[in-house]
Amino acid sequence: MKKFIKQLFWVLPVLALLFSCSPEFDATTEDMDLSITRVNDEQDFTAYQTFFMYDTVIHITDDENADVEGKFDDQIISEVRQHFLDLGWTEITDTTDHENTADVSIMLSAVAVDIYFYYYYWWDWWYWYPWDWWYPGYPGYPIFPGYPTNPSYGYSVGTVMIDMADMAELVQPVKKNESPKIPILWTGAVNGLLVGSDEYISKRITTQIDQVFKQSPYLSRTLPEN
Amino acid sequence: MKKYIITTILSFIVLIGTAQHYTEVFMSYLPAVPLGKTADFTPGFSPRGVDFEANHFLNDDISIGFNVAWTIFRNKVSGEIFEYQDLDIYGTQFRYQNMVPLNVNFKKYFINGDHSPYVGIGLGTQYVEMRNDLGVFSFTDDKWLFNLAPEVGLLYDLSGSTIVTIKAKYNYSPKAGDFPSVSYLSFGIGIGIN
Repeated sequence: MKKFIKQLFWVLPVLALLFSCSPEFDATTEDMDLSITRVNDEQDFTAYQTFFMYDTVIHITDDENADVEGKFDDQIISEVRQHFLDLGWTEITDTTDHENTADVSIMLSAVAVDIYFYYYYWWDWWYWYPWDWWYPGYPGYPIFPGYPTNPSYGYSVGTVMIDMADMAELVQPVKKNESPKIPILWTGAVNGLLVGSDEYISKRITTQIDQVFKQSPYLSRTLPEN
Repeated sequence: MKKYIITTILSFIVLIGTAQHYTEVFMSYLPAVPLGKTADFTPGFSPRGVDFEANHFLNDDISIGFNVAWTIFRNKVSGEIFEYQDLDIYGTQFRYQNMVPLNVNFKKYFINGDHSPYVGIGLGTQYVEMRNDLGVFSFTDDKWLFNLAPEVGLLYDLSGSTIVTIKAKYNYSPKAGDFPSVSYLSFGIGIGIN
């Protein structure tokens, strides 16, 4: 009996090591979604009442000739516009002089990045090598000979950015090779994995855009009820 | 994560290699409860812990030794905003804390037949890594901190060379700069040889 108890106790530390080998949580696709906002805490929005919004989502890519599908563009434009209207902003639709008539301009952009994971069995490390987002077709970093690798997996991560710029404060470039500078008053961004059906991704985009505006109460132009 | 396993196993091998006559070597399963600032970041009991220890007896009731341990706390937080510089980030947070204390131990035993209660104190250093994973992004901060670890326990002699141990150990590391203090209470059950 004592010998059996002795053998049983030796199992305990082995269990401890096994327990400690898998501390990571399992994450669902929704768990990986993020809604991000950036604003200077001292930014005062009270002077801003009107906005102009471009009816285009700029897709950031290195390939100027790339034919980007943009299948969620209409949804993104529509939802962002509606949120600003719901917050009490007035939209300026005159495209001829919006820089002088609208208090702020809203610009939408999107980018997709491929991230790959390589599992190096020999060292038992997990590495991730982000593809250079300017070259989405690049095969990735070379594998050193002598380090066997298991098959890797990867996924695409999409980000939509909403920038609010004060066009009246635009600074024209002094030199030829410089760009104009525009102060960005507020940025909202949604980030998540581009996996699943279009309907699934569309639903998550809506949820995340809603959250971006929910966590930006300072954008409200509506007076509080007395 | 795997580097902590390698560190603890290598430390244990060193302990075994330097063990001399009347030295006891232990390996224990060490679940823990976070306290204070540690619990603020990752509350809740953790079943993930292990420690390795070697104690050399200076006489029948006093030993000096070395202990290396590894404890992992983790917590999943949903529906909260994480502030980072001028960003407000809303998403599911996966928080982890890895603690690897390395201590020199001093213990006093109260021998009572085959049962030996003891009290002890450990002094040394502790490596702490705090990590917060949000989406595909990860925010990590780590530090080596001074560590103090008082301990009480019991040794039970199963046979001439096999010993069972149970213990309770409080680990405390004071804050260093912006890095918060660390405190947790571990409960160990293990087995050893001499």
